[in-house]
Amino acid sequence: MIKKQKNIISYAFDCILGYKMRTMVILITFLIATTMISSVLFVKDGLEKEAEISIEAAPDLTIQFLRGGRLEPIPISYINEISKIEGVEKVVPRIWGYVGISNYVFTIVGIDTSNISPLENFGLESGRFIKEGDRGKIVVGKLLANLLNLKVGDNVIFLNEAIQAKKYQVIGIFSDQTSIYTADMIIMSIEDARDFFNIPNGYASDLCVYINQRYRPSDIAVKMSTIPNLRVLDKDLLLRGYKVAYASRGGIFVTLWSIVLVAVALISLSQMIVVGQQSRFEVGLLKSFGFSTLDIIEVRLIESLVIGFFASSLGMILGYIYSLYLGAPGLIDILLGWYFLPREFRIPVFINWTTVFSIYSVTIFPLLIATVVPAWLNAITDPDIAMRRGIA
Amino acid sequence: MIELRNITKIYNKGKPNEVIALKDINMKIKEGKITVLTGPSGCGKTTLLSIIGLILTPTYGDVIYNGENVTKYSDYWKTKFRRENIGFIFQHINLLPGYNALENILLPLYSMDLNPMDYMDRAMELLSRLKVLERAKHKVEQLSGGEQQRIAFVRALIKDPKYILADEPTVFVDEETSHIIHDIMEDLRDRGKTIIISTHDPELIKIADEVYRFTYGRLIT
Amino acid sequence: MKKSRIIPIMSIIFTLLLILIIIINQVQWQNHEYYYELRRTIGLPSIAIGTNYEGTRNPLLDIFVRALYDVPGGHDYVVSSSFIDTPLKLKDFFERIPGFNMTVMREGK
Repeated sequence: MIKKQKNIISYAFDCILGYKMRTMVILITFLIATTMISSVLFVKDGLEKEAEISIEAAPDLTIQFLRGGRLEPIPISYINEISKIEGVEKVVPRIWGYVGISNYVFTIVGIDTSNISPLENFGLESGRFIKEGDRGKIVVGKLLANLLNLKVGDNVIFLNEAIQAKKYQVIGIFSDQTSIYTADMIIMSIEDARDFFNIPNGYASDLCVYINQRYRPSDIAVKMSTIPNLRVLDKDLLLRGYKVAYASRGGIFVTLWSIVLVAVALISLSQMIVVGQQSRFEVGLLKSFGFSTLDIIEVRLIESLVIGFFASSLGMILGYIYSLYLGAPGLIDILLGWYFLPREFRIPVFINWTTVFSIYSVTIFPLLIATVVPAWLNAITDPDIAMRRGIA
Repeated sequence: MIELRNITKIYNKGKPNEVIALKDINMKIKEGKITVLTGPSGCGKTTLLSIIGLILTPTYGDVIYNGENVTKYSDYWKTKFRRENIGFIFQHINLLPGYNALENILLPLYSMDLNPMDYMDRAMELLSRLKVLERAKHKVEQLSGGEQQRIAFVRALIKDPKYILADEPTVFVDEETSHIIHDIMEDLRDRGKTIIISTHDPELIKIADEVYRFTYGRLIT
Repeated sequence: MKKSRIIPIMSIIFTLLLILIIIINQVQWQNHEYYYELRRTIGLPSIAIGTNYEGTRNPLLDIFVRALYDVPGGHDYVVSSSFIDTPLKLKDFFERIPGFNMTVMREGK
């Protein structure tokens, strides 16, 4: 039996070159389809992964202040009230906002320097992070650093909304590794941020609440909802937010998958028509020699698996290279609507086993069906009839 | 002994283009002999040969090999039987395009539990005897009709089958090759092989032990 | 080696190479420095998903920003759009909040 299996495998391999045109058409189409799909999916998976990590590190609850249903700075006096709630470990005020510079929008984040440990690794390329008592100092991301060719020790002047010039000294620059998170960031002390955004004393943009692990943030959030004028956002809500976005993206991918599937089906169908006659004749002939129906299915199965794995694996490798090393130029613009990716921004690329298997399944299964089913149908008819139909 | 009982074959049965290819054929083919089926074109010789070779199922009637009625046997059984016992030479030659002569010759061996390369010497010997040895590595598309027929002949004999079914085996070959084929057929008979030939070739009819004449689906003699 | 063996062998090589890439990629993510303390200190979602940073700004993210309410990094200024229009109307995404385009200068230059 081993020798027979060897023969069948050998014959299946010969068939790949025997049907040169069909092999070429399938290989090229599959290669393009899998490269395109995989590069997008690998980036999407990377973004999802980043989202999960960010959610993990996010405060358990974010408290915002509403007036007339619109967001306004929150009075810091709420900290006392919130801290009294059982389970609340820490409440940290935060001031943040945007500043438009050149063609970019940067995020200014004012942080409470009293809680920062100088020993922590903040992913800086050079300089140091903000520490307690720092005034007029900023830590910037790579985008601003490259835009203005900034080095540690340089001074920059920002104009705020009141057209007041504010001078800051760069004391640290974030590294490339954190670029997905920090490229557009300008970190300063909360006092500097308050001054820059003209937020009155005793107010903050929002409050970050950290909950003791023994308590569920959603329970605490329910208790907080009794305090008037507050909007409480918990991690779950953020996670749901992400999921909403990914569901929308998922819609695009469903569309894409459908396009790919239709393409694969059409190609398989066309190759069936092109080589159908020859293949029918071949099946009849093989059966007359004594190849069983199972042997013939095995031949077609091996043939399709080899072609399918060749094209899909190579396509995914190219997709990986295309997205990781080249940043998926062109494709991302069209598929995800990215507008502009500066080189400071590193696209996260994550290869998920599930994604790889799903790519294999949408490429290889239709191919198997398109080749094995007609072969099987021919194999179960009388060899003489199959050959006559093949020759006709 | 191969016995055919009331073999009838109707193509497209019940449709407007229905064709009765064979009607009530009864034959007894002796083992170790050369049996020739002859008659005008379209009289059903090829159909009968296909039915004997178990690659076509009769509409009615039975095919009996050594007392065993195999007509209703499973496709798997028939395939196995063909693999182990039957060598075909088809009317349309039926070589696989894209492959060379040698690959075509060894093809029937790929369904068996053996190493086809072990049969290389036998293939070479037969090719040499039929004077097409130098064409062994040529793609079949590059061969003439006569050469293709000789390759098909070698392919039918490569696994040394018990039954050889040959449909017009000399139609494309020259006189000299035709003689060689006759000689080989006689050798095979001497070695106890059963040969059933469908032909118009009077030379082949001469070497036959038994001749059946057909006319449009019916057996005359 | 027979010519017909080239594609099957390459098929195995590519598949193994892909598996290797997946494993390396997974290990890289496992060993990835997440800078939790940085993320905790700043407390913002990643710019890839939460800001109007143009590098990441696309119609889907606009949906995202709405979904995230006005959490840091995701202000609620949205440009309505549909993804089908996106490649043709990328210009629209240049819109920004009125009076928001401020300026910056580097001292001494």
